[in-house]
Amino acid sequence: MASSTAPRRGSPTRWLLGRLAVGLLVLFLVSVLLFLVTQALPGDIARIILGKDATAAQVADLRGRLGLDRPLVAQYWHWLTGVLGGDLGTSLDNGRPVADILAPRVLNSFTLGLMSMALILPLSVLIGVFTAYQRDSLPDRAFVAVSSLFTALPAFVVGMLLIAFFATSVFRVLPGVSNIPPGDLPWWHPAELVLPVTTLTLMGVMYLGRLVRASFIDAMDSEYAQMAVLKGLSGRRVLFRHALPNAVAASLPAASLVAAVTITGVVVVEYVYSYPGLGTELVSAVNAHDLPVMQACVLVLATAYYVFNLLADVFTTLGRSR
Amino acid sequence: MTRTHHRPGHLTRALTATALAATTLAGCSAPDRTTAAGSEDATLRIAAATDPGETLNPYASNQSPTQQLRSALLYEGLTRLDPTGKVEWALATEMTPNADLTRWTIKLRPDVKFTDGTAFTSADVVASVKYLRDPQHAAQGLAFIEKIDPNAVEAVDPLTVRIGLSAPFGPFKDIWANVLLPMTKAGTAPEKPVGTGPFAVKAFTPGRQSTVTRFDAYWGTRPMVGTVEITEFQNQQAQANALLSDQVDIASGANPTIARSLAGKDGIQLLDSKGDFTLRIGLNTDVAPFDDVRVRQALRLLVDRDQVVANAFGGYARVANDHEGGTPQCPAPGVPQRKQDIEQAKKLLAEAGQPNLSFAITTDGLLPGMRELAQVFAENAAKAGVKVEVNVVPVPELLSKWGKWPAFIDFNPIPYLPTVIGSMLPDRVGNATHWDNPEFVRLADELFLAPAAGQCSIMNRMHEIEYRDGATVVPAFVNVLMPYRSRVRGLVTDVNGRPLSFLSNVSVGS
Repeated sequence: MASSTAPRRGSPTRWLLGRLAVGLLVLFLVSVLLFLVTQALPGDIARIILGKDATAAQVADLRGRLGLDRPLVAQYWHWLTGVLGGDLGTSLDNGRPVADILAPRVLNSFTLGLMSMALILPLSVLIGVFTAYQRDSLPDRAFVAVSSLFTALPAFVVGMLLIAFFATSVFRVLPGVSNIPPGDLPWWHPAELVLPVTTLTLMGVMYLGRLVRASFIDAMDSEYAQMAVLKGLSGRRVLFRHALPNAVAASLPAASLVAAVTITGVVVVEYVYSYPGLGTELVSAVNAHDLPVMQACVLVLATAYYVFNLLADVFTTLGRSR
Repeated sequence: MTRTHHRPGHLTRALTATALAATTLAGCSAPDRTTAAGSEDATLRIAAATDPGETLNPYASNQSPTQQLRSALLYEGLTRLDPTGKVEWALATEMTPNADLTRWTIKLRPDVKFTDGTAFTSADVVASVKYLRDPQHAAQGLAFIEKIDPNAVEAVDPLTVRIGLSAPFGPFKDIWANVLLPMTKAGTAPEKPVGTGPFAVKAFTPGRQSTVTRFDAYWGTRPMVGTVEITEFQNQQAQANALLSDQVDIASGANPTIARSLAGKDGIQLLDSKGDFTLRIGLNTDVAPFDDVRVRQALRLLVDRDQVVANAFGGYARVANDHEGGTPQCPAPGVPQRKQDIEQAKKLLAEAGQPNLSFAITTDGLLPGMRELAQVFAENAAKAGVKVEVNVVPVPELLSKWGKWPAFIDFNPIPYLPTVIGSMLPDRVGNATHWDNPEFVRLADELFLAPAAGQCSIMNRMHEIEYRDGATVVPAFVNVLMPYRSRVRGLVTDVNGRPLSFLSNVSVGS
């Protein structure tokens, strides 16, 4: 994906700055798009808040108080200048500052995502290297088969299967929902984190593990590894000094992409486990047409997604320039 | 997005606070929340549907079932409904009208305290009534008290209030039992409302969780649990999972399928409140062909009510007869049970010039059974060659065209009298069928003037008109289902479908 934007020799800083500028532009476009999409949604937030019993005059009055009767451009400009000034606005739905609503949820979501990534990376390398080394053995074939299955399954199906197996139907050893009470930090509730982290980790390892396996097989088959073997180096030395670094380097862009994909996975997994993070908040905000909350959730998620994508590009470029 | 800010705003503060909290508390462990089950300090944990827009204001418009569930623990009205639907005294002990029913004198219960320890007096009633009566506040209960003259609400002495009306009104005591009309301490609503209920707010996070604790100076029966914790979930399956893995004691929302799958599983029982909760198909009488009573009658004759009960509501319902319920104190109106009669329906449609009728029923599927009711109806209607399309729209869309849909699915959880006032008389926002029957309106006026003893016969005559001419297909009265763990004892079923309003005898065993 980075081929068209690869740095010209000697200007990596300029390339990076360019990428960052593009990133900001993308975020801006995302926010404009989201703003326009919410305008096209059927239904009026003032009517949603007041319900069917309110009169048209009461609805119009609330629209005025929420600033919804101003021109679209003015509404957007008000929001944008607020965000640039560090003020995400207040929720239309309940009047609380968006930052207060989001701060604990950002922490919850990032805890979930980071814990999963901390497991996905080493496990993928371990399993990838092991299965590649044992190519065509029973464990290798089993891994390839199982990972194909998982890649085909949506995250929420995996989540529901895990809930049924470990929480509600077969074994009753883990909580069936992962509610973190307001004001608590997520790691105070390790039992509640097990299933969501496991779901994300399984999805991540099944994908990244296969990529590592493939890269490792490539590395082992490469001329330099073959040459090393011919030169009489020990199998272990070839494995760890020559093949492994190259295989891992080749997998790094993929790892960044997995991190980006994990962010979207978090949204789905949170819903399945009722985990109070950005994903569940986004679903609520969309249902309630709560634009400021929606915008903030999407911007946080899009920024994180973009950063990991950028990392993938950087790693790819570094790998190529080597 | 945060890189570009120049001055500290909400976001910066919140993020700094988060980071600080995270670093300082990283080593700490969770606060101890274990409660002594079986003791009087036990916690009752309830799962409910999420409502991010909720507040503690009991006068807010468009309150969700979750907000009403919490309000019932915190606030009380002048009167209240018992679990059998009978109106009983709460904060008032007497209401006396003048001769022409245009002025009411209310005696208040002495020695009642607000949960902040202050005394409940007539000034608080005056303030609450005036707040509710002010159209600016868009209070949801306004329709029920529109006859009150806001300038004629006065405190006579600390325990007496006098209320003047713009028109005579007899069933005053009944109206005040509505959950939307509670009394709060003067000057506290809407921001920090204080009530007189058996519980007081300890913690509240909208859309997430609320914790209420027992108010020990409560005037009525002292609750047997010390704390009630209401945790909100985004779907009913999550409520069921939380119940199964013992994270909550009661799931307050369960559709028939979920309820059936849970009941009897490892000490889970089902609280099955049979009442007069109606899910109904509304037909807009402003729109052809539903302005023709023959068409409305034909559609009512198409429904297989037993099939609706069995398929749409999993058997947790009973057959209804195209009129509202909510009159448990009265004998059944003497109208024959309407049954499916395809031939008669076809005949009526032909007479009305609609032999090939085709229309859509719109529903937001908000409550379990709504979508299924429309589907069963569509299937039934096909037998007479009537084409019915089921149009499922998001809640906001249903609301945005409220009163304009030709055919739609609606629900009604409240007793008959407020139903008439709120959604059956012409020109009510709640009357989305725009049904206007002069005889019905005349009887309603008669009802508003009748002494208690005469009300049943009038209400039954009103039911007859609904049955004959009404604009809704009411095929079933639906049960309200709440699965719970059997260590919770003392729960009672409620004809009005709010069994969790009655927690005074509920205890949590070990």
